[in-house]
Amino acid sequence: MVTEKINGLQLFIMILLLELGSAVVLGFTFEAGNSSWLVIIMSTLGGIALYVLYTHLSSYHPTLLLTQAVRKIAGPVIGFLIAILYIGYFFYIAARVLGDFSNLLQLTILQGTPLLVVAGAFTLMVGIASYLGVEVLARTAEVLFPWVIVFGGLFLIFVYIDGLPDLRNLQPILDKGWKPIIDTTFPQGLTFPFGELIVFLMFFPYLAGSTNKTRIGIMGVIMSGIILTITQVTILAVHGAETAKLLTIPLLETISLVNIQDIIQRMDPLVIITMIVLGFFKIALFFHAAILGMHETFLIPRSKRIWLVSGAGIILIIITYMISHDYVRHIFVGLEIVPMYVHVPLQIILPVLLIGIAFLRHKINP
Amino acid sequence: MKRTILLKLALLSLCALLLTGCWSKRELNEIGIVTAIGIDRQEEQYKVTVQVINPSEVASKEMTTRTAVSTYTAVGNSIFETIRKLMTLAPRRVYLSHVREIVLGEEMAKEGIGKTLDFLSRDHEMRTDFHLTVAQGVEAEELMKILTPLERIPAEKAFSSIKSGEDSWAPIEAVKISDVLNAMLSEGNNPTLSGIRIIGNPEQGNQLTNVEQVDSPANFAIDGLAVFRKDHLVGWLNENQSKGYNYITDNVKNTAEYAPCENDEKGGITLEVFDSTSKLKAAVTSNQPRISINIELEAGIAEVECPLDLSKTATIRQVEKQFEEHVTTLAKRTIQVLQQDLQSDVLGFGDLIHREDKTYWKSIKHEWDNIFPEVETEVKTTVKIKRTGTIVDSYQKDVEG
Repeated sequence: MVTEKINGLQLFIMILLLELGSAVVLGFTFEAGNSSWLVIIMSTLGGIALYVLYTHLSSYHPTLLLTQAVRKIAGPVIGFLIAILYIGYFFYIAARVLGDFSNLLQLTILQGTPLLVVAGAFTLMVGIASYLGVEVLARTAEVLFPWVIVFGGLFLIFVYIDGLPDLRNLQPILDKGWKPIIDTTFPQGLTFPFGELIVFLMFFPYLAGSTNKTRIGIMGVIMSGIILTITQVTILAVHGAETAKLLTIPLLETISLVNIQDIIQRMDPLVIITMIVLGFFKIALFFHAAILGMHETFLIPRSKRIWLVSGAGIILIIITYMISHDYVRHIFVGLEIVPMYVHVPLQIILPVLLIGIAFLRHKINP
Repeated sequence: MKRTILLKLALLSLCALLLTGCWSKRELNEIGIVTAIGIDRQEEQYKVTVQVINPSEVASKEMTTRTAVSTYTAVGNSIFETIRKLMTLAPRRVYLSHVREIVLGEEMAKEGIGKTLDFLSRDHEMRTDFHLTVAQGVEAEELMKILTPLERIPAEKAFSSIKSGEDSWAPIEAVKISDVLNAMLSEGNNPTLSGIRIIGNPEQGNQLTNVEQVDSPANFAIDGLAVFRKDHLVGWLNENQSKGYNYITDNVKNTAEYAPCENDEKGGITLEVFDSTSKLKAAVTSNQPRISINIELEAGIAEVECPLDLSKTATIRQVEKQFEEHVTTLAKRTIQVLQQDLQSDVLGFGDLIHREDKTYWKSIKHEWDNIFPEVETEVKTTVKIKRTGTIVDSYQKDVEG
């Protein structure tokens, strides 16, 4: 059934883009004050563990998508319900991220444009990518990745050449001790963005046979942890923890300060383009995961994909509008409720349970 | 066949959607580009003055008799409301992305600027690269009305005065909104803002004749530093104190430093300082914080009025010593004024102690305002004279002899 293929490099890039997605733009949480970059390092370590957990889960049924595997593991009825749960989850995350990005674009450059139009334009692109399939998605990642690196690199170079970061803003380290750091690492830092790696359980079966997904994936997670840490340290050093906490889009506020000899200034587009690229990719990944799940769970043939994608796209816009036309509530739900009551059960508890059952089944009936 | 034509038509019409441009586009001739905003208090309300560019005056080659900028003033409950209210006066919607200068009235600064800064940092049209200044002794409105020679746009003149001044004259500090917010929010720091003051006759400043003369009757100058305690203006540092402040906070790039001749000779000696670094260190011993400040200057001799033999290393060493004492005194006086008269920790001593000893800081941070005036400081200056200019020796002794 699976004929499309993605290779190791593409997996690495996809992981990197997914991790950087919302986190690099919205900024990781600054709740832990001037040592909040330690939160990222801790979360990255947790992220590696989660990734290993997911690859272990997929190793029981390496050729099956998550939505198929759960039915093999938990039986047809419960498995069917869990499959629907995950499809809904992926879909919800896609809508949530779409809401994040549409709101941010509205806030920064498209003030007069209605939310529906911004979200609609995004969805159109996401829909096209999803209609064309996994391979196209992976190649898109490959094409977009160099730009993200170039823009990100330029961002850092400009900010440091201009001498904006003041490392004294990072001192004293561990000002308030370890407690706020651990508090923000779990559940917030760990589940967002690292727990979102669970979406790759829908893409592992497409990997070309020889790919060592554990090793490549861990490299991807570490790499994204490093990039996130550098970004966080830079933002903190430029603004100081007290101000950074207040900013809606810290990265954008940082780049807008750059002014090198009145020549290199107003570089905001660097961040906005990066934002759009990363946003597009993250939404596309989750949306496509949901689409793949629907194909397979509701037995919709591949030839009908155009209808599935169009329908799902329209529903995506509607849900996005419903959950995020009120940005304050959207952010509150996203930071206070979703991590604990949605992410933790679906990213950690359920996979652990599934591994437990799969392990037992394997023992009893090898 | 028919299908493909239809498809192409559909695609073409889709292109038309994209080619119309942005949703909320505004053409250049629909907006009034604001270059400076002046904010004053009028009883419980805000009085906002904006300086709008008159595009045809700035861009066109032909000179007319109209001024390059126009100002509009309105009074309202909040800054944003007042800016929108300006629509009753201004023909175009004001556009804030190109603001270079925010001038706060002195009276308002005394009442507190915290509430004002909220709009300036929240509004999406405002960028963060403008300078914040306080109008010294006058309302911001008056300052906004002065026309300036050389730079046709007064806000541009203020912006570049501050910018070039910061690079070549020690008392000037360029302050951005992020600096103020950081200092205000930090427990162990307080903000300063550059002062701006009218010189000459303000009555004549708003007429075109002001810039039609070689020596403009009215102008404005960047002068002094406004010292805040949290968000209230508590006083001013004069030129020498601002110099001391900038030496201590490592904010001097290039400047001139003058000291009178020794031995009661008439005249003095001037150095061009081309590099200045300062290192601040905090130490806490037996619950007594102590700050040591180490300033290092690299300079060249720029002007000599004293009969000195500059070809001798001993003389150079003597001049160095003289300036070391001079700068140390400048810095000490500034600290004294800040500790005794203004009682505001704009030098960030609190943050320094916080970084050095966080447990001690936690125990005193609530009383910091009372402790700050008592903090012991030690200033040490090293001056290194690297060149003596294009003439070696001073000819003063021959002239007088």
